[in-house]
Amino acid sequence: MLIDWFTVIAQVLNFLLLLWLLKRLLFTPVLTAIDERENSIKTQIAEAEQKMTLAAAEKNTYHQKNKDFEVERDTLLTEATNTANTKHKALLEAARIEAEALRVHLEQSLKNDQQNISREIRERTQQEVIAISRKVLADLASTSLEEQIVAVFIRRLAQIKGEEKERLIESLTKAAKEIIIKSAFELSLDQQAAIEKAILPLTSDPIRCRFDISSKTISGIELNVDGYKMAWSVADYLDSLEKVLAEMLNGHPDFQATSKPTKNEPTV
Amino acid sequence: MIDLDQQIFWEYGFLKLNATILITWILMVILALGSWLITRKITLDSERSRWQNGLEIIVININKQIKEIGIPKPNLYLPFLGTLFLFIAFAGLCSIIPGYVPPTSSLSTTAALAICVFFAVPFFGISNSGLLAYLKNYFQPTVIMLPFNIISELSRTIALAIRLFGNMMSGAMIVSILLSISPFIFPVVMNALGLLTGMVQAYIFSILAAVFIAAAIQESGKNQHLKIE
Repeated sequence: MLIDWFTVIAQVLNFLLLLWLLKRLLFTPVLTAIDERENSIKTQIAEAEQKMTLAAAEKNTYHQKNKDFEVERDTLLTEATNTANTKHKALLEAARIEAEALRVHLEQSLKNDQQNISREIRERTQQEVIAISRKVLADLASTSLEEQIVAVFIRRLAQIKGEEKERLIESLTKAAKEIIIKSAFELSLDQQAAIEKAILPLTSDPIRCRFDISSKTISGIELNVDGYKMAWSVADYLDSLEKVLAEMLNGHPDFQATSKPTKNEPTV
Repeated sequence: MIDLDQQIFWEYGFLKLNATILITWILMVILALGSWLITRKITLDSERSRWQNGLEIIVININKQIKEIGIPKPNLYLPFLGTLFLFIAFAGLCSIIPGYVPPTSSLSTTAALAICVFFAVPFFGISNSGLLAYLKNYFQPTVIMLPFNIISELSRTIALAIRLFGNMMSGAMIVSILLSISPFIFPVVMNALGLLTGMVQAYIFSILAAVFIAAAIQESGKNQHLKIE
């Protein structure tokens, strides 16, 4: 087996041609594609790493911001809680004070209302009691009662003593010969004479009595002379009763004592 | 045994077209056309065809092998070494086709490939570090070693050619001998073995070429470094 040199040269040329063809059609495109892909992947990896670095930085920033935010939030929450508590206490105190003022005002109002009602009841009661008493006594007024009244007046006139008697005498002395006797009913002549007879021992000068009828004097008789007044009337008792009732309804401390009947209470 | 060189289809004076050249052309057309068909639709993104994937795997692995040998810029030497490997491997793989005889079983083809390597080694050495730095290799370690170095260059070229030729031709020869003894079973097994042999020989031839180139580059580079120092 010999070497055919033409074939050798042809095969060398063939190989060189194949080398050129494969370099152009196979190796260069494939290597270029691989290199470009590798570069692309490297770029992508670099970009990804850069993005990861940025993301890590952003993450750290956000973590820090989150921490700051939490701290700030806690601080604000604490401040808000404290402010709310303070405000709550202040509002509660204000409400308590207002409620106390309202309560005091209400109590005062209630007290005033009670007092007004009590006063009204008291006055009405007093008025009713007095009115009933006056009506009863007016209805019961009769001749015998009037005679008794005159008798009582004369007896009292006779029984007057001491300082009061001196004042009466002094007044009678100063009087200009006339004294006024007021009565709730018309006095008979005998009764007028009896009264004049009772007054006479008390004065040395002759004196004239004028007898008037007064509707204000309930079942009573009244002597007026120079500013001195001496009277006996059921109205006086009624006035006394009115006074006692008023004291009793006002819660006077002497109510128990004064509510007891007096010795001078008239018997009708 | 068929001698491909002696099968002449056309002849005009010195020029002639024998089976070796014709089969080589067919293989070249298939390789070039296949490469063109795959790489014309090449894509850069992650979605790519199976053919492109296969081609990329082959190219990347050849590149990786060259790098493992110690050649610093494998992309420069990839076309030469890759073409050597692909041609020899494809020529060997096609032996599975009945009646096909690989062109590498012709001593002319293997001698041509060895001559290519013989010239490629100084070419890459000179292009890497310059003519003087490369030529100094022949005087290493002393001037006395010059003839031995030249003999070494020539002998390793001849060894490359004879090794590939011997292995490829022996495979084809054994199959033809076995066919005459036992026409069934054995030739199939030997064919399968021939496939493996073809691949191994392609690998060995390419690796040896790469080693020679690497040695030339490193030696000339070493000389250049020493000169700089």
